[in-house]
Amino acid sequence: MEATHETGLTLTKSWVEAIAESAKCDTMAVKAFVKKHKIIQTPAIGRPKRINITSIKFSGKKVGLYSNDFEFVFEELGPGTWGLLTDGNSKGKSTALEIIKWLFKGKASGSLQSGVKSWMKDIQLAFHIDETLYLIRIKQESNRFVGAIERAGKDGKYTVQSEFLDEEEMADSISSFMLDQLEMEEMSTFKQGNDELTEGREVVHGWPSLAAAMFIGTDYSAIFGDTAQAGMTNRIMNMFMGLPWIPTAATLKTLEKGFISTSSVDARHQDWAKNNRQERLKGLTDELDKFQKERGQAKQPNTSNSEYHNLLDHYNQIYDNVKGWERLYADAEQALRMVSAIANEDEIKLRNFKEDHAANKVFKRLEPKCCPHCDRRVTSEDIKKERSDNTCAVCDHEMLDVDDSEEILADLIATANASKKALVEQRKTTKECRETMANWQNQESKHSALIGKYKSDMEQDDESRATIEKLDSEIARLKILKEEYELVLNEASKDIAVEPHKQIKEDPLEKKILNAAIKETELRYRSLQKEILKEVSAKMFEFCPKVGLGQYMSIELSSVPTLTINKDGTMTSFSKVSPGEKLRLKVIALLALISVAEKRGVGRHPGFLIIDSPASQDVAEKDLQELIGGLQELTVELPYLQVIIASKANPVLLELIPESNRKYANGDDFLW
Amino acid sequence: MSQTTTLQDAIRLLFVLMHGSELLTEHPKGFTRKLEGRSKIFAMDFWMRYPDFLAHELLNRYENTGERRYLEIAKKIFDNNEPNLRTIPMIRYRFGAYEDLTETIALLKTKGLIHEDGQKLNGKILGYDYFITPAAERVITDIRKEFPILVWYDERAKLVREIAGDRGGADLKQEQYKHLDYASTALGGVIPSIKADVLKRLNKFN
Repeated sequence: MEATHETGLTLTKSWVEAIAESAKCDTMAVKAFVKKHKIIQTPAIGRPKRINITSIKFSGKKVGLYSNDFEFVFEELGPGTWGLLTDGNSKGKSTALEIIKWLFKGKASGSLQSGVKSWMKDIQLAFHIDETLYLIRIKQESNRFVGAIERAGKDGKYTVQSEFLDEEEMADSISSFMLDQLEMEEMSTFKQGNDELTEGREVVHGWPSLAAAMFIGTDYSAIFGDTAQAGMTNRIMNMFMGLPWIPTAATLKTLEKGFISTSSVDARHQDWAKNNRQERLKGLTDELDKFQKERGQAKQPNTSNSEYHNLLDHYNQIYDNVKGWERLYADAEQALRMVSAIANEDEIKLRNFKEDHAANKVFKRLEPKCCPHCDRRVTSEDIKKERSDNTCAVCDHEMLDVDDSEEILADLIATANASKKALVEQRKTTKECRETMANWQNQESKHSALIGKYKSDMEQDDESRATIEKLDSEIARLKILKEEYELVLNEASKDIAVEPHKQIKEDPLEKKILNAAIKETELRYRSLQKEILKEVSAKMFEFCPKVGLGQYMSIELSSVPTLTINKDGTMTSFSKVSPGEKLRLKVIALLALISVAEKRGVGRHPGFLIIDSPASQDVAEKDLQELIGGLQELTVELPYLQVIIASKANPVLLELIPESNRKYANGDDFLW
Repeated sequence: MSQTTTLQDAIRLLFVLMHGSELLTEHPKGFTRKLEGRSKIFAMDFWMRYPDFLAHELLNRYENTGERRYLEIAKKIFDNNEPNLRTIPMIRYRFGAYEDLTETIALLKTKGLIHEDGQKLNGKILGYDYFITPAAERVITDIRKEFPILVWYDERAKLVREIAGDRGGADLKQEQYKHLDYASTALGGVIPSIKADVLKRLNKFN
């Protein structure tokens, strides 16, 4: 089936078919080769995406000569030229820059001092990729390291895209994220052995190597990126040009060099990451040993929640008894009051009866002497009549002489005795209730004090419990990580045992397929590459006068890449010009690449650039002025472009970068 | 609280009159003692009927004199549970604690134990005088010998007289009014017990 490439190149066969035809073999053999060597087909053309940093924040506590809390905030950034400037050296500019690089690349460079790095407690880097806002944040506290990549929704709320718990994971997470966002792939290059007896090896370049194209440091040896090593510059350039098949071509080239150097196929997979993993495994093991030792020495808590709850259960039982006996005692008291009232009443009745009976006897003996109303004297006749007629000598009323007092008295005595006995009983019962209640109350009080003390002990134990929990959590985390690393390393070792490289070297068919594949792959991007290089060269030449390189009469970028420059009629190259020119050439080469990509809709550079220390002693002030001035002009032409310059301040920078666009530590001040 | 019969009341009143009265050296009708005014009878009877008020007065006396005997007696009143067993309620009337004693006095008069007289104006008595007859002296002697159950009234009336001293009825009422519970009792209302307050006071001395 015939397919038309976007660049105009007409393809009549698929990549596999074309290779099979060229190698004169079956397509199945090509597919088996591709599968065996894990060659990824990358036919996609890169579409430009734009990255703009919007804020950089970090805070923590300095340790050392100046021990203080610090906070660095540089925010509300956007397209244009921005500055991180200090008057003095060691005022925090380089660290701020390294922090940005650390979060952006995912891997801290050696320039970020480990001491300074450990001061950081909270770091945040916010940036736009096209319209979407992302945030990379890290929190460090004693031995804890956590971080995440978050994405802002339309409502401004962030959702976590991925989380990482150590720097290794962070590097993987950020690398995957950035490669995915910018539609790039990792690339491999071949690194030669140090001497004849040492085999060369494949090195996989992930996001940090690619991201180097966005950071221009003080090493101007390569036009693109920060190193001229192992064909990387070429691949970075091709990648950012947006060419298709670049990672595939890189893998094939590496494979080819691997054959020649007799390194094993599987040695390709033993990249720096593996070495790092081994180092990391050792680090993890040491760390694990240290924590396990600390765990063994940690003070053991003597209290436990279950024991506390047992005590509480026991206390509740006692409390129930207290309340139960308080009720019983209250009832007994009430009964005692009632029985006591009855006993009193019975005693009063008995005494009243006895007194009345006695009084009756007293008064019965006395004859009436007069009428109490009219004072008429009672005569002896009246008395005689009373005795004979049994009628009162005063009022003549019939007198009944009934005496059932003994019977009544016996009843009253019995009743009074009974109620007295009941009173004694009730007093005894009440006393028993009171004593039992007091006993339980006493127990309750003691137990309450016991629980209070236990709770206080528990609170004291909380600290050691927290330490132990933290240590256990760390140990568990480290064990998991250790197992993972061991597993990965073991699997890698097995692969080596199963697939020795020599099989490939000795297989002529594979060699034929590999050569055909390299040829076919290069064919698929060469024509587009040629077109783009021509346009980039033209664009660079157009930019030259803007950055003070007006003396250049022509400039040509090759696919290597090399720069052939006609300077005032004399031919020269990138490696031969002055550092100031190199810096400006590096900048305009990138800007030309971005500009062409933008125009064609093909490319992968995100339009974001950081330049470190352009005002170094090797760069003349005039060159710098021309560079910054040109940049200002170019950011107008490329309105999405963001350039951040970190530098020792000088009048040129202070004049050209407005106050609103810079963070400036004046005099002896620190940036943070 | 106790509800007593007229006979009990008559015995109690007989002892109040006996110990509350003054000795007569010579009387044409042979009366041996004389007590002037009903208010003194009511005032002394109030202390007979409210042992807690009497104990309160005894404690006052103890505080004033330092004589431990008064404290001991007050204590004994409570030990014997008298506030619960021997209180005979009275109502507060216009002139203090009051009870209609007509029937009781009538009984004592009929039996020839007392003689009631008074200063008269136009046939009306303005103030009562009570005279003790020799028959009453004999009855009291008999009671002391034969009826020990009634001896409590003899002893208590003697104590009440000691506390009352030579003060008249008006003075005694003034003393009794000092207690707020008594003074604040509504007219016609039963005078309440103050045993809880007195017990608290008593406990302070122990």
